[in-house]
Amino acid sequence: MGGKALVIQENRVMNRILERHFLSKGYQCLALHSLDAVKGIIAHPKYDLVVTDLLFQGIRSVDYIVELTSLIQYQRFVVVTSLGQERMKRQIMKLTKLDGYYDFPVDLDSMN
Amino acid sequence: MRSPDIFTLIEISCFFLGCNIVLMILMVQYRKYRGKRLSNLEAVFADCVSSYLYPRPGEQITSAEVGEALSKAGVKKCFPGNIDYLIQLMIRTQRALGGINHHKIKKLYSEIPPYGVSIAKVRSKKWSVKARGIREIYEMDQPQYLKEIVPYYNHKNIYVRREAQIALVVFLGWESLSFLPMLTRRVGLWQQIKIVEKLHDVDKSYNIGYLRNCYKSSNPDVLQLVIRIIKKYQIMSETDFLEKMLCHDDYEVREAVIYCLLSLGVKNPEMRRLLYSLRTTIPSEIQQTQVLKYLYKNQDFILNHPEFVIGLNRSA
Repeated sequence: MGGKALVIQENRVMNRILERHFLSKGYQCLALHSLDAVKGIIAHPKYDLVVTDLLFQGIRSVDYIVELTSLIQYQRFVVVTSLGQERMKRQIMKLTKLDGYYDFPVDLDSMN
Repeated sequence: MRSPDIFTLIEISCFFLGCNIVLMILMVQYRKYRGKRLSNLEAVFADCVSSYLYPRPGEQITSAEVGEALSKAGVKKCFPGNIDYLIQLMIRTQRALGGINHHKIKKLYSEIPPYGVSIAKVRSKKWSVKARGIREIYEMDQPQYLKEIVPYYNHKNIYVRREAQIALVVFLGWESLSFLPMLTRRVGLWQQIKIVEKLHDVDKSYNIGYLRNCYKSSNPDVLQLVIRIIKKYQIMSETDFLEKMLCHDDYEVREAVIYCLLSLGVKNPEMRRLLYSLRTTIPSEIQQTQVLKYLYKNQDFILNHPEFVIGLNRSA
C-alpha cells in the first residue's frame, strides 16, 4: 500500500490515532481537524485515500460532504464516524462514491 | 436623617461596577488558561495513545512513559478536574475503538495514572461520587473492580444501584441475572430498558437457565424486567410463564405481559388465539378491552373467530 492520505476528524485523539494508523500502512498522511483547515491549504494534491468524520461544529453532515468533495480530488473515500445510521450512509452514497463506512467502535485493523 | 449625597451613590455604583468588570476579566482569563491546559492535556493524551497503538519503527512507548507524560501535562492528584477530564477522554477513545486496539487501550488504562481514581470514587461516602465511580469503571471496561461493585446492586440509593446493576450486566452478561431474585428494591422502567439493551449488546443469544431462575422473584419490577427480556430476545418457549403472569396482581406486570405476548404473536396466529382465549382471565377490564383493541388490528383473525361472531350476533 502507500500513497497520499487525508484524514479529517474533529476529535483530536481519533485524528492522531487514524494518522498513525495510515502512516504505519505506508501512506503519507495529512491529518486535519475541520473543513476550514482543508480550505486553508491552497493546492491539494490528488489524494489516494480520504478518511473523514461527518460530525463537525457549525455544519450539517451533508453540506460538509458537498463542500469537501468540491474542494479535493481523491480516489477512495472512507467515512469513520459515530453517526452510524443507515439513512445517513445512504445520503452520503448519493453524494459521492463511498469505499467504506465505519461507525464507532471501529476496528482499524480490519479496514480494507 | 440626611439623605446620602448623589455623588456618594454614584461612587458606590462605580465601585461595584468596577469590581464586576475586574471579576469578569479574571474569569475570562481563567477560562482561557483552563481551556489551554485541557487542550494541552488532550494533545498529550492523543500523542501518547496513538504512539502506544501505532509506534513508529524503532519507537517503543511504555505505559510508564505514558503515565509520566500525562503527569507532566497536569494529571496529578492535586488537580482532580484534570483527572476527570482525562477519564472522559479515555472513555470516549475506548468507545470509538474496537478489535485489538480496544484491548490494548483497556490494558493501558489499567496501568496509567488515573488508575485507582475511579475505585476510590466507588469507596466514597457520597452517593453521587460513588455512582460516578461505578459508571467510569464499566465504561472503561475494568472488570478487576467487579467484586467491589457487586454489593451495591441493591443499594438504598437509586443512582448507585442503577449504575451497579448496569456494571454487572456489562461485565457478566446473562450471569448477572443471578442478582435479580435477591433484588428487593424498585427497578424503574428506564432502568429495565437500559438493562435489556445492555444485555442485548453484550450477548445476542440467550441463556434460558438464568432467566428461569428469576421467575420465583416476588418483586414485580423484576418480573417486568424478565418479561421485557423475553420480548427482546423473542423467546417463544416461555409462554407458560407469560400465561401465569397475565393473572398477576400487579397492573404493570400484566401490561408488560400483554405487550410481550402481542410482540411474540405478531406473525403467529396461535399466539393471537391464545391471547384471545386468555383475555377473560385478566383481572382488569381495562386491560381486557386493551387486548381486544390490539387484536382487533388483525381484523382477519378477530372477524373469523367464532366467539367474536357470536358476540356480534348477540349485540345485534
